[in-house]
Amino acid sequence: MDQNKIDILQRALNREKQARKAAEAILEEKSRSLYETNKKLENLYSDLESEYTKTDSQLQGVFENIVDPYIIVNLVGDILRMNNAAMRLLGIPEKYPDENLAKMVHPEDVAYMVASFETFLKEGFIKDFEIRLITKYNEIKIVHVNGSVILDKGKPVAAQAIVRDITELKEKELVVELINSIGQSVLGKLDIYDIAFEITQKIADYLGTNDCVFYLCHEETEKVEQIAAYGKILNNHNKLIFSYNQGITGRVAKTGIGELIADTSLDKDYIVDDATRLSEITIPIKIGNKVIGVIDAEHKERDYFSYKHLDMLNSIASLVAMQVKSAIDLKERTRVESELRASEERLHTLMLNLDKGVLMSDEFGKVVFVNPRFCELFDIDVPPETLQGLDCLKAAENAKDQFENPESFINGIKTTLKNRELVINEEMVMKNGKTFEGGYIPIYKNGINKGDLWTYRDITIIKKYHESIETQKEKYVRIIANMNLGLLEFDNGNKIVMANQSFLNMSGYSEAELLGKNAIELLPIPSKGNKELLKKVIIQRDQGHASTFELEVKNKKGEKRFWLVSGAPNYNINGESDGGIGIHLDITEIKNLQIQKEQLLTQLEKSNDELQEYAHIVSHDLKSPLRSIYALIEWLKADNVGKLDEQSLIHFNLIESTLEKMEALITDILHYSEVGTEIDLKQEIDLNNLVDEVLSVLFKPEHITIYILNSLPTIFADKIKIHQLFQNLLSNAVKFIDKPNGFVKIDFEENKTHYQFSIKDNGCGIDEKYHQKIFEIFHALQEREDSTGIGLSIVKKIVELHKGEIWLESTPGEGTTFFFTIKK
Amino acid sequence: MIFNNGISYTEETMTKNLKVLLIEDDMIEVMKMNRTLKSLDLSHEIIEASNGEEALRILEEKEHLPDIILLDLNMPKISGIEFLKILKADEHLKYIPTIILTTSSNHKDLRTCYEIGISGYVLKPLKYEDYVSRMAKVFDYWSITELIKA
Repeated sequence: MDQNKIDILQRALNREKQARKAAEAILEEKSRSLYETNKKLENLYSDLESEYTKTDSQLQGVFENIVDPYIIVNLVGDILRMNNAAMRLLGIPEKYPDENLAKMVHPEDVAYMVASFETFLKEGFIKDFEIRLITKYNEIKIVHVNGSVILDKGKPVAAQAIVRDITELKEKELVVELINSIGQSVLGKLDIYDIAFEITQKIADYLGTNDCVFYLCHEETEKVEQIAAYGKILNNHNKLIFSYNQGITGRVAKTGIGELIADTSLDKDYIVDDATRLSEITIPIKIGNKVIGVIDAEHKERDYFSYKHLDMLNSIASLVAMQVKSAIDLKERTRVESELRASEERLHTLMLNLDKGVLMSDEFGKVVFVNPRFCELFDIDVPPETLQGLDCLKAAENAKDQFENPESFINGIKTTLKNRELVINEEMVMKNGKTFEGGYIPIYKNGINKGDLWTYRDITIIKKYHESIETQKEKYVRIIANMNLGLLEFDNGNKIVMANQSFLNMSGYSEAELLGKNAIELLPIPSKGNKELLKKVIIQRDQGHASTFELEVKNKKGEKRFWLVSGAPNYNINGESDGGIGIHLDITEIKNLQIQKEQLLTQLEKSNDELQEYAHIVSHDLKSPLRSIYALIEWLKADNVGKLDEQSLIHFNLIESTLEKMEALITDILHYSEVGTEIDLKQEIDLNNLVDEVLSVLFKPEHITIYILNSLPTIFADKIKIHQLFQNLLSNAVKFIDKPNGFVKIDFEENKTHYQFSIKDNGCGIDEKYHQKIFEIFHALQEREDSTGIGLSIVKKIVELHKGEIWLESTPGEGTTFFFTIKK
Repeated sequence: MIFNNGISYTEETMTKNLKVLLIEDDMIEVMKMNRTLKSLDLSHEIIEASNGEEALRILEEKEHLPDIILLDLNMPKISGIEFLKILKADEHLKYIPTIILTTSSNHKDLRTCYEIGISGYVLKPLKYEDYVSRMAKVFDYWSITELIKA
């Protein structure tokens, strides 16, 4: 290797050696200074550490002494730390290990809080957040929150916040808002109902009551009237009106002092309007000392309202008072105006339709107003308005010829105008025969004549009416004086006031003898019956009833007479009882006849009964010998069998058949006499059954058929008699059938009042001349052994007893139909 | 008459003779009664009384009380109805069945008699043979009727 090169390399190595030594020295220096620095740093850190601890505890003190409430909570709201102000705000005493802020949030705000908390965590801070809390004192507080999230190694672990109580501030804001809004809504409104409505809505919202009522006070009637209510539309049917001594509203209207009722159930004046509520607040609206309205709100909970509310409402009341007052005044003015208008209209209508003709003139004697009736009365053929402005006197001149006495009419007007004094009811006769009544009223204003009012009325009819009443009165006076009935007028003490001529004739007394006498003591016979009767009559009269009765009286001669009296109370012009009037008719003759008739009837009844009894006895007495004769003949025949010749036997048989006929005659007479006795028309009879019974015992030859053409009715009648009726008619019908094929047809129809029956046969018939006679007693047409001639008399009597009729239609040789009716 | 056991009885075995008080004022009526009994071959005993008083006298002797009484209504002195009233008011005699025998079909009499208390009301028919047949029925009936012996 080249020295040079070695030298070079040698030198280079030396240089590097030296450089490395230098660098090592630097490194040594550096690491020494690093160590020192590190040492310093260590010191510094421990300084810092202590400094930090110091600061932190200082800070803690700061927070605890801070004016605003300060709270640290973990992420679920548990309170980790808070200062005294926060404790005061939340109402938490010294220790708060288990308190949770989130749980104190007002239930209505929880959702809002949860939402806000998420944003808060995301953004790391929150500003001007407002929320309601319910404190441990159970108060609702509105709080204002500024807070930030506390991070540990970048992760949120807790939150700190300054929480300020802004409740009062908020309320003040609300009040200002309310007053503003009421002021705004009421301002400029003139309608009292609008104003009241606005006030009730705003106050109910503010109080949170859902209830607020506005009443108007009517001082003169001492009444409060509901004119607006929260959430309700009032009308005349549902609005409430109280008097001043009803309810708390009435009380406040009376006293003018607002009231706060914590428990209405303890207040005797409380009255339930639409629902019972336990708290009430009532405020008067006053102008000076005068209460013009009342605001009233209620809440269902006890002790709901506070004095703050009372103050608040008082402020509102004084705020709106003027506005309400002017609205009331306006309402009143509007009412008065409309009444005035209505009154004017009424007056106008009255004038137009008045029965009187009216003319009004001004102070210059010119026509101001004339009503249509005026034109009618005076035959003026133009519309009333056209007369305006006319001169009154000239008009009178034009009309004067309609009066019977034109000059006195004109002079009368002139005199009246000169005197200007009231004229009433002056009669004037018109040429056409009518009578007018005139009147005059001067019109004065402040003592100065301002015109005249003339009235005219047609009194022709009234005048005639009065005249006719007079005539009528005279007519009745004449009737009373001359009528054949005795008329007596007496006062309340029964003293006779007036008696007409007929009464004087009837009683035999003169007018002087009667007047002033007691009508009840003078004439009636003082018998017990009369006394009781008159007592009853007087009671009836005192009750205002008229009565008619028969009275036994003694006339002046002492004769006993029967009077029919019709008495009625009399009244004076005021409708008060003023005694009575009696009208008397002497019925002595009629009465005697009536008594006679009654006696005769009794006698007749008795002799009828006797006759009946007699008929029975006679028939018995007559029948007994018949039986004896019959028996004796039989015995003669039996005891002489074979000894009597044929002729004798025939004679014996004739005796027997004669006896039978006589027996039948006696039986029929007895029946006939019995028909009218012991009758009972109210028995219910089914005629179908009855006719069946009759037919079952009726002797009916083979060749005769009986038909019942119609179902028969059920009637009310005497059963025995009706039985006999059918039996007699049917046996008659059968008896006289002379045809080989006989029939009897029973038929029935009815009308409104009667049942009509018919019994038709095809027998020998009856000649018309006998149609009446056959009903007479003992009138048999044919001399027959089985006929006595009494059967049809009995039938007729029975039909008549049932208020019916009997007749027949017949063609001799062909048959007969008997018809009879029975009243329903 | 057939009973369930099949044994039959004849009516004749049960008839008995009656003691009959006949109150009748008409002599021929009495004769009719006697002749009727004879012709019917009946042996009932007839006690005759021509009026109510006589009948009451007979009834006073209690040993001879009749089984039945046949009474005419129309009689002198005490009438049939009056007699009936006295009879039915008597504690002992009221049990004797009384049958009215009369010509009167008067409704009032009929009702009065039933009100007071009678056991029958038979009208005297006109024809003698009818009379006989009616009487036969009356005696038939009363001779098979159980009576209270006073």
